[in-house]
Amino acid sequence: MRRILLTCLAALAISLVAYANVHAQEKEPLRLIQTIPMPNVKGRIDHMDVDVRGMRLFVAGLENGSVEVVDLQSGKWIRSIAGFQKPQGVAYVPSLNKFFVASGDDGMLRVFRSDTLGLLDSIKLDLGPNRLTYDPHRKLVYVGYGGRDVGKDFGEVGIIDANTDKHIGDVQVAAHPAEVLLNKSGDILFVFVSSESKVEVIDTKNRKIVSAWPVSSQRNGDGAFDEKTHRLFIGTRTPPEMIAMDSKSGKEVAHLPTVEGMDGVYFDAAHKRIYVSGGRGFDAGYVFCYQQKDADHYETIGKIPTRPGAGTSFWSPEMNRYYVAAPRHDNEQAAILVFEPEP
Amino acid sequence: MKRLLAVSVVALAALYVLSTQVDAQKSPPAQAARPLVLTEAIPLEGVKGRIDHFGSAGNRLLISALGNNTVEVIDISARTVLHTITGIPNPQGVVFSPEANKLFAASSKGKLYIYDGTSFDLIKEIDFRSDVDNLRYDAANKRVYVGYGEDETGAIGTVDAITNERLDEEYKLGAHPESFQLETSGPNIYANLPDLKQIAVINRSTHAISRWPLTLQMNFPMALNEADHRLFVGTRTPARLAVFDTNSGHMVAALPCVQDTDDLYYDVARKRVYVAGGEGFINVFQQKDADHYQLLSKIPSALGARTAGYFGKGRKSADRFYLAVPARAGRGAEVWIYTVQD
Repeated sequence: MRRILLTCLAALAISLVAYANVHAQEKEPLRLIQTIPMPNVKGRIDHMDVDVRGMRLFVAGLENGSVEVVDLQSGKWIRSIAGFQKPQGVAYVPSLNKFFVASGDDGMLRVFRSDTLGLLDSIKLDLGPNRLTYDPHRKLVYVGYGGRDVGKDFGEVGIIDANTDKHIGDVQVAAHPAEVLLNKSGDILFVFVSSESKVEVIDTKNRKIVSAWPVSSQRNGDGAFDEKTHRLFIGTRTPPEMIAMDSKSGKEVAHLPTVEGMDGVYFDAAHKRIYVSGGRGFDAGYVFCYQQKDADHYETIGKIPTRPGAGTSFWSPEMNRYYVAAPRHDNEQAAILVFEPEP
Repeated sequence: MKRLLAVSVVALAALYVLSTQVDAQKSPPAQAARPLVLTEAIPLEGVKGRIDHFGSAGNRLLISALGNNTVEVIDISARTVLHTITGIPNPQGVVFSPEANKLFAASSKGKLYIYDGTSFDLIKEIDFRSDVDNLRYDAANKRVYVGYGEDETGAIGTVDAITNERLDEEYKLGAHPESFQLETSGPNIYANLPDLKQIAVINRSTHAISRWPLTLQMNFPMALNEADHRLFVGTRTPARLAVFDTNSGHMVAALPCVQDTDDLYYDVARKRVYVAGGEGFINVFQQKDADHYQLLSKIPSALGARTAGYFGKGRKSADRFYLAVPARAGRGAEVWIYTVQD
């Protein structure tokens, strides 16, 4: 009896120590180094991309119907490109001196010269163009669109030849894609189907779905991919979680609570961290930072306050900066919050 | 010795259950279709004793830490404690007025405390002399309704949220009011009077008070479903979810329910009733129609977890149910967060 008691007490003590460690004081993994106001930008802000050489950030002003161009060198907003209906995804292609903008409510993928910011082409898709990703090997842009927006019970991933700006094909997916992620070789495309809580895996050579994995939490809206450990990081909204999934098997290896109003998930390979930004629809915004200890183990190392409503973000490994888009709130102008990772 | 062993085993089991359920990293849930899924726990460091009612202030959750003499202000996005308001002896009800940007906290020692909603500085204390308990905010009139008093002093009083003045509008009830609810589409206030084994119905237009005698006793929590004219009441003796037709005052249903309940909510979107009980369960009832209800789920929680907060769908469908789990052997107080699912 005494032995059982001692074992129990010891186990209890160990549990308590483990618990205390989990809840130990958190350090701040991201430091706010700059705030760049974007005057006259109203409403929700969506996705971004960076021009590393030109040190510019392209920002989709979703409710403002614009793409905003921000100079990261001077820390100043440069100009606004108008004429979109619900611009969402932005993809910058340095080698072609172009950037692509997907806008949901006019069903267009527009192509701009990145130096003059002049319109080059307008590619008509269908309603709902959202996320974009670029394959530099094949010079292809993938764009998620369609689905319920056009009254269809499936969604599309459109394939665009980035040289010619031609819409050269589509791959049907389960519903409107919320996120598209490409591996480095460009052979595999992960498509998040948020409405069905699913990840579909496309073999881009054959343009076919080769796997479809269920996500155990609902509304997987955003994600990131760590090719080295073949882990997908999946942000879900119901409940708000960051799920690490083995991209080869579809097995979920970790679940951690994440921010409410999640709208951006990025992997910082240099620091082995995952950044999840959120705040869309909420009066507060945060970035949750997770440390990757190994492929299957993750720890929350910080909750960095941002701004009310600040959902989307962008991680640039080349710039070693994490950009969070803060929409206008009360009397505070919209802004890009620039964070630097702390070692 | 045997007792110590038993306590250890229980504590260990509880810790094990908790660590698997709510710690930093957990295994994927076995199945998805559950009405409430425990997804996280917010530690309330150093919070001792009983935890009473919840309030909602935009992105912040307000929790009366009754035994700790504090009101804890929690950011629901980050799930961290933003601020702790000290110096309220035994706080009970807590409400927020967005129009006035003020926070109102009720003390069982007899005072109502008014705080600035941004700085949390104390603005004013109003002395009601005895057991200030449940508070409700009427946004239409920018008025706080205050349940207070014992026996013959028992009443619902009012305070103007803008001027901080106690108003003449006051309803003597002859007993201490427990939970009460304000109609938004009508003039009535429904109030639980467990000492009188009654529900009082106060007409704010005519000031007439009618009373429904109860066959069930210890009626504490209450929620209102105005569209269906139904009032939900949690009773402790026996433990029941009782449903009343607000037009007739008749009890239309009574279902066995978790024991020692102190908070109960109605989910308009899903037509469900959530009841937290100190017995260590949350009961979820499905409303099939206005007169028919079914226990959908009995979710194990923690002993003493009898108060909770549910404020419906947020602007972006952040549908969360918050449960107060007081400090117990080996583990500090926490707020458990459940994701509400269809």
